[in-house]
Amino acid sequence: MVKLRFPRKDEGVAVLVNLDECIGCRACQIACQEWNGRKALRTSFSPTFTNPRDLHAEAWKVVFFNEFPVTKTLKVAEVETSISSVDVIPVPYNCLHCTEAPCGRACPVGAIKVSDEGAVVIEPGECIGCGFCQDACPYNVPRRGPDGMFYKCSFCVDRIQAGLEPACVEVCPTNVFKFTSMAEAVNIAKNMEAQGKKVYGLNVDSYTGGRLRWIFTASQEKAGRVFPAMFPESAKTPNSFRETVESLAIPAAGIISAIILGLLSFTWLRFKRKGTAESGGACR
Amino acid sequence: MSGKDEVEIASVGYRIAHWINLFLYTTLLLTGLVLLEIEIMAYILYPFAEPLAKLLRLEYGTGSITAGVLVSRFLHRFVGPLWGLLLTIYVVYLLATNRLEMFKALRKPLKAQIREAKALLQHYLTGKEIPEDVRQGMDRHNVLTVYLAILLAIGVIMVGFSGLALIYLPLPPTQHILVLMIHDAGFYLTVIFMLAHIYATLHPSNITLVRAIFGDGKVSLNWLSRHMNRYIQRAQIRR
Repeated sequence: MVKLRFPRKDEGVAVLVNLDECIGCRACQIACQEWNGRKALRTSFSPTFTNPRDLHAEAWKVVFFNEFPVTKTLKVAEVETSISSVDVIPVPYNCLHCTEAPCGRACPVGAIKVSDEGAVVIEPGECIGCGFCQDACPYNVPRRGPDGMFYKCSFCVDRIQAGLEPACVEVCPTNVFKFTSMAEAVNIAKNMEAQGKKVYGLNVDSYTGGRLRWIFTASQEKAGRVFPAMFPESAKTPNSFRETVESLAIPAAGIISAIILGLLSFTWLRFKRKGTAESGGACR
Repeated sequence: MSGKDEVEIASVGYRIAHWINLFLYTTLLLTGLVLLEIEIMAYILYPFAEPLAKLLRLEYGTGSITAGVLVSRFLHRFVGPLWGLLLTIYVVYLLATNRLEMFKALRKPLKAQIREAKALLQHYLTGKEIPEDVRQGMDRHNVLTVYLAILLAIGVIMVGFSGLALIYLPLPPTQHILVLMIHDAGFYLTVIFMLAHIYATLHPSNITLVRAIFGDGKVSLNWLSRHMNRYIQRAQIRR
């Protein structure tokens, strides 16, 4: 009844994100909010340009500004001057639509659907607000809204099914995103890897499916700075223990029931043979 | 056996409390399992959920499961605190009226406790007779029962506090996972207790007591002297 049909790893569509092209204009963030009818959020001061500071029920895509203090040297004629500065690496971030989405597996009501394109979508009318999806997500993506339900990027599946690109892809002025078939996106990503770029999303831990529908590429320098913090090499669902116990519960219940029934049958037979069903001697 | 030879072992209040506990625990168990193991529970839930979904005019299929889980979740979050409140009132009442007798078995030396527990386990699992000296020292609640009750108390405390935190505190994901894990672990402890309790209930030695709990609360003095000898002496019940 509550079953998901996950697409094969080479099926569906993908978005290739070239972080070297991103200028941090946040057009993708706004386009996402606008297309999905999310409310505008009041901005606040924060240590970085990131606003809102994290993913939000009203902000399914957020551009994170990773800042790194650097010292740059300026040499004019024979004079060298050191200038303290900040390098900013913007990273547009949203649900990665894992191939075998842990959120979909954790949802007790099957409210998280996987479309034919591979988009992992929370059906708004079916979410009961239990939060198991958030617990299961290796990237901490689903967020609780003011109505208690959970929200996240839908991969603009409505646009894709109408032959359009996702809103964030379409609006990007510097072509950071390339929306294409999974097979092509993987080929391009592999070529970029061969050219010395760092790629995230090709060989991720098999727990999340081994391949993502959002594949990020960046120069080695950029990737070295932002990938370890934002894209873990071993992406594991935080409550995998619960999933393991759940999978063991049924066989364990069967074995325990069999043992109990066996022991009870044995003791009843023994007591009947002795004719002492009520005089055995124990008590509760 | 004449009426004179019968002793009330479970008062009306005790039996009502037991019924309430049985009913509320079962409700929490079933509604909790719906959230924990929907793949299996869906088959049990579906016959109830489908008419409910029709009533709510939800779409066929997943809509009915959603409706069923939604109702289960609401019941779980309503019955949990209610049971916690009733248990708290009951424990406070027992403490205030000095009626919390269960833990008296723990006053025995540890060596004697272990001997009693071992003898009872052997009796339950293999049918071996309980040595007479151990039998003579058994109270209203034996050592094994008290150990299991402690396990249950730990489980209920874990489930109770974590449950309240899950309902009322806006927990960030990392804390939510931790609290849910405590909730699950507490639940498994109560399941261990329940399995042992059901086993003991269905054991041939305890049929008289089970009849008393689900009947008029009385057992024969003869039975009592064989099973709770120390209690007879302590409570000064005349033979």
